[in-house]
Amino acid sequence: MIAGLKFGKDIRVAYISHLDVIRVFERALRRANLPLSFSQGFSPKPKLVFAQALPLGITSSGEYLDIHLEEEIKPLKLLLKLAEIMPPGFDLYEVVALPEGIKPVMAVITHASYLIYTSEPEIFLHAEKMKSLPYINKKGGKTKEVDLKPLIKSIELIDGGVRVVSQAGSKANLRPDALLCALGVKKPLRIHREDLYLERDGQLISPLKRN
Amino acid sequence: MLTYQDLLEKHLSRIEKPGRYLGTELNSVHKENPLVHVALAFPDVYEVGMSHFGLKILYHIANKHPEFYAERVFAPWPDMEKIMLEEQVELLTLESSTPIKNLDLVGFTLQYELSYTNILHMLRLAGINIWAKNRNEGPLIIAGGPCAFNPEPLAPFFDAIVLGDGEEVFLQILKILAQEKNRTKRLALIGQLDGVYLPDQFKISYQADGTIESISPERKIKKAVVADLDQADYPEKPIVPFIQTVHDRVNVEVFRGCLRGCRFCQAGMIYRPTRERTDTEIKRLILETLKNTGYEEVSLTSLSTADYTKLSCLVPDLMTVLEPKKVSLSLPSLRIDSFSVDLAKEIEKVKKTGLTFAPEAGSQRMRDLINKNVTEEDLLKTADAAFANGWTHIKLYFMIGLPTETDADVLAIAELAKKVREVGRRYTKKVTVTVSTSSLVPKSHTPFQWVGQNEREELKRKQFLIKDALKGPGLQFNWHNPEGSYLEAVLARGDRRLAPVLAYAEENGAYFDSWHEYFKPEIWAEAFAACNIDPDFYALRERTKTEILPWDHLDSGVKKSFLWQEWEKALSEKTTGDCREIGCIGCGVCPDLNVKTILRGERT
Repeated sequence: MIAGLKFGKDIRVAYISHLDVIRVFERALRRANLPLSFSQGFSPKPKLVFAQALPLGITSSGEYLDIHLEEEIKPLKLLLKLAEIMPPGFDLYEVVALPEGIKPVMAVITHASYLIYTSEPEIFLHAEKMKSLPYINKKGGKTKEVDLKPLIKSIELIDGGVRVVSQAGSKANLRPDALLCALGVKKPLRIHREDLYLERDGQLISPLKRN
Repeated sequence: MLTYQDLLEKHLSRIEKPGRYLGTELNSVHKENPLVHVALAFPDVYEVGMSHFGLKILYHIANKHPEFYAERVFAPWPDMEKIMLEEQVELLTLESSTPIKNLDLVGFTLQYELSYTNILHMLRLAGINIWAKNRNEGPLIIAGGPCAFNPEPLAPFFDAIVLGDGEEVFLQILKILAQEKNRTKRLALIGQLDGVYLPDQFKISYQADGTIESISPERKIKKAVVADLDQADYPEKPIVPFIQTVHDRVNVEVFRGCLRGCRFCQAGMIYRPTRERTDTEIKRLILETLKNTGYEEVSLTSLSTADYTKLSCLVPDLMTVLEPKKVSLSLPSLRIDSFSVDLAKEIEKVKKTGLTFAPEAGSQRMRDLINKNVTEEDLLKTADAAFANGWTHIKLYFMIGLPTETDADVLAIAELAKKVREVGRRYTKKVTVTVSTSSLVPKSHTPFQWVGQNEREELKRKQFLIKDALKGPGLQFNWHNPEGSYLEAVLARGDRRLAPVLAYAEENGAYFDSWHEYFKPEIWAEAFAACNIDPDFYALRERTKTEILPWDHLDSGVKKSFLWQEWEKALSEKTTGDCREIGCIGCGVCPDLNVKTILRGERT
């Protein structure tokens, strides 16, 4: 079976990189003594698929992970087991059973929402009205100007900052640091990834509901 | 007051690996208001320190008592160090961000000489005076670890130094700290424990030629020793780091102490005698630790794991449990024999790795001289078994700069590597033989403690000899700059007159000397000159039989007369057997320390 997990990272583990998070889950699942599926090859690893790497320093309440298991296990039981075994700082919200053969979570993500706690919300709100938002992307010694504007779906005011809903995933992705750089704003007090979504019939829905 | 968390939040983009400073890893211990609060300090970066098993043992021993709290502290990497200086944050413990100067005690581990300036730098970052005589308050600063057997260059910086196995002494020290609050009285009580050396109680005088005239008083400090490892405390719930460390796995020490008697090897002398754990206890510890950590790799550690007497039944037994869990097993030190290849075959079921062997020297004459009881035939047979079983890559470790070494001996390294390649070519075309050489650093408490190190130019010349002779397909050569080995040789057999040199070097920017990108030989040259010390006197000079050595008052149990006898045998190229096979060879450890070798099975 494939277990779809929604989890979060609070400030205590916001400074752990994506690769480290993978290891944390691999080891936690081993400690939980679950019937994990393993990859083939010289160094077998548990089959885990993460939705999207979270940049360092950002907290989140909307991370997703597909866990491949050899045997059926009740979602609630798995959730409780994980809650018992994960190190502090990881919030565990929900587990659902996904059918075999379902598209991996990383392939379905289309949008993300970020809560950016900033003293300059007006600059963000102004950006929404602009036609384009140029950004110089540096990659492997090459520089390329890209327009971030089409990647932004919406920007709205919240208490202490703004909510930015943007494209995310393998096709088109807005990195929060690129947005901050393009806007030329001060370093925000905190950035929080509120959730990840996939777009279906014009609606943003949870990756756990993708079957 | 700022914590590590605050510093990360404020300066994230400037910090390379924030995971080093979190302190909230799985199984890390967090306590409030402990009766005794200490820090276990490892004078290197987090990833290195967290790979050290001794630290995990002591962390566990202290923290299993509710009234004691031991936290970790590592050398902040230069990026974080700079931020701490800017923000005027003094060195903090990892778990609770407590300034280490507010603790009862800070214990440093002395693992290698090139970490010495990190100790001084950490004290300075902590706002603690580096000189023991200038400290009337604040934590006691103590040390332990292999380099404690000649801590003399560091002697003026420490209040106390523990020799030998730390498990029991450390707990006794914590109990003293709980009972006595006066700093001076605490130190006096700690000084009465077995294995504890108070450097200040010894006075050293020197002769006109620079050698030692006397060490007084004449008494000796004997190392502490744990008689039975099965009874020793073991960390079954070790911290699991978030970031990848050097050795990120379950380590179980299958035995302590090696009796093979390689004449260059300090560990082989100072950790005697061999004390094996039972195989049932080893298996229990592994399973328990896996349950508590979720690690994907287990390592059976010791100075020579293939010598563990129950290994041939332990390994298959472990594999039946580990294989279904997809946990791999590693044996870090293989012997040069086909038994080791069979073992390697057994453990490769989960994960394929390269094979590494350490013939240590290229010619038989040199191997006899260092007492590495291995022949060329042994190595070629072992290589044959390895290639026959599908390995294509073999790594070979050698040492250069051995006493009486000639160019023919050096070139024999390249010849041996080529012979191994030829063996491999019988099986496959894509053979790789990697040769790594290191330079001999003569160490205290070994038969080579009287030997002069080769000059740096000579070591470089010898490396180039090998490099030129090792050209060709399937041959790789790793070589290194001997500057670091030279400094290591100075400090390894140094005396207290080197303390000002260390202080000078540290003040002038020596930090992370064991990292080649930070090692600055020019700072050291300046420090030696400024302190009027000739480093060659320590590194290159051959000592006489009667010379008083700076560590003569520190007793590993192995007699100095035995070491000299071994040195003479080395010069006549005679080997000495293993007492587990040929009976007592008179090294002196068992009667001196009232302990004995503990084996759990038959020698193979």
